[in-house]
Amino acid sequence: MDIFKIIFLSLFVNNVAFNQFLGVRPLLGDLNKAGTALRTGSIIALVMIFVNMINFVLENFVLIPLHLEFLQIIIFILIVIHVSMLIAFVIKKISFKFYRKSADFFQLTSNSMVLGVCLIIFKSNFSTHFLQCVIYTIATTAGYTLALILMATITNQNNLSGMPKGMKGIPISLITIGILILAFMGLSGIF
Amino acid sequence: MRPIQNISKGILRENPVFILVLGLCPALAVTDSMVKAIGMGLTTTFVLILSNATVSIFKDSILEKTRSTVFLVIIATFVTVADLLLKTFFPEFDKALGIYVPLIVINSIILGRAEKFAQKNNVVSSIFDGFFMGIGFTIALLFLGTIRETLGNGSFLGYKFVSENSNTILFFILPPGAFIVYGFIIALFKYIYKKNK
Repeated sequence: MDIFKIIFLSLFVNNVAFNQFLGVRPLLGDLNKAGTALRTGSIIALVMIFVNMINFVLENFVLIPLHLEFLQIIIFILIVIHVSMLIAFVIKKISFKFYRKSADFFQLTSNSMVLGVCLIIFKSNFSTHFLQCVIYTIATTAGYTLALILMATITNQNNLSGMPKGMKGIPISLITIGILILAFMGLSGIF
Repeated sequence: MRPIQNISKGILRENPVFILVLGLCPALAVTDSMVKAIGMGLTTTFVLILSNATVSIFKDSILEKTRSTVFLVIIATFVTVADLLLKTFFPEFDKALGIYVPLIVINSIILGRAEKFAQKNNVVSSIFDGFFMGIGFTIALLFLGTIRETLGNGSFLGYKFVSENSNTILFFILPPGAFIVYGFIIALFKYIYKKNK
């Protein structure tokens, strides 16, 4: 039941893009196909699972015993950069076709969402429980992928319809997100 | 001549929040009160000045291949300094900002300025550039914060100007209000900017 609650909350109610404002930039009209959005989301999920596992081990067995918590920010950012570079390298060796299609998306892992989720995990009580940490990571990235897919399809529709010149592009995407969040807030009464 | 050009560039012509649309995460997250917006802006300015100065001092000894990693480590060092200073002198303030202080590392304004400006210019003009970009960022956050706090909370810089029990438009300090206010302001700037051109 607890696990179900974590998944539901991080998918809809506390969606990381909509309610915590992390990684908003890729939502604003860069992607306009659902398939591309899904691929981006899966790459971010792959990177984040490895990053959070390494962070969990480092945090609990190196930083806290040695009282080095103030180095957290530097260590997290280095791990995020190097894990995403390493995964890009491995994918290039395994399947070059997939790498060529998605090479641009590896830059996206340097957005604020990856580092933000690491920081959220280690400020909350997930940091003592390995399984909860992994499940929270997967559920959060699933929520982010949901946001990416929703915005990709809506942007596709927005590009076709006529509107004032100043509104085109980023402003209309921001307003659309605002209206979407109002809809998601209706679900917050369930738990 | 140079500093005067920097002023108009940082605050108006290349305003990071309204025209370049960088640093979205703090612009949306901390602008629900004016005090938080000012604090976030000043912290970012502090990091921006110091990282710009450091990058421009060491610009000749940074290798091309490891460039962005070195920049991020430099920025992360100064963010750690700022975080520890905030925790020591303004603990309540640090609690209110939460995870958004460490997230300054990823703020694309700072990395962008290091790559576009500090890497190619000398120390003094990099410091000026960092200062005015930071001030432009602070003004933009304050502008958003003023709109959201006066409408959503009925207060100005923390002082309430409506009576305790009156209803305010709560929508504006919740997440959807942030997105919608920011969207309309960018649309306004885009319209004005196109007309002057």
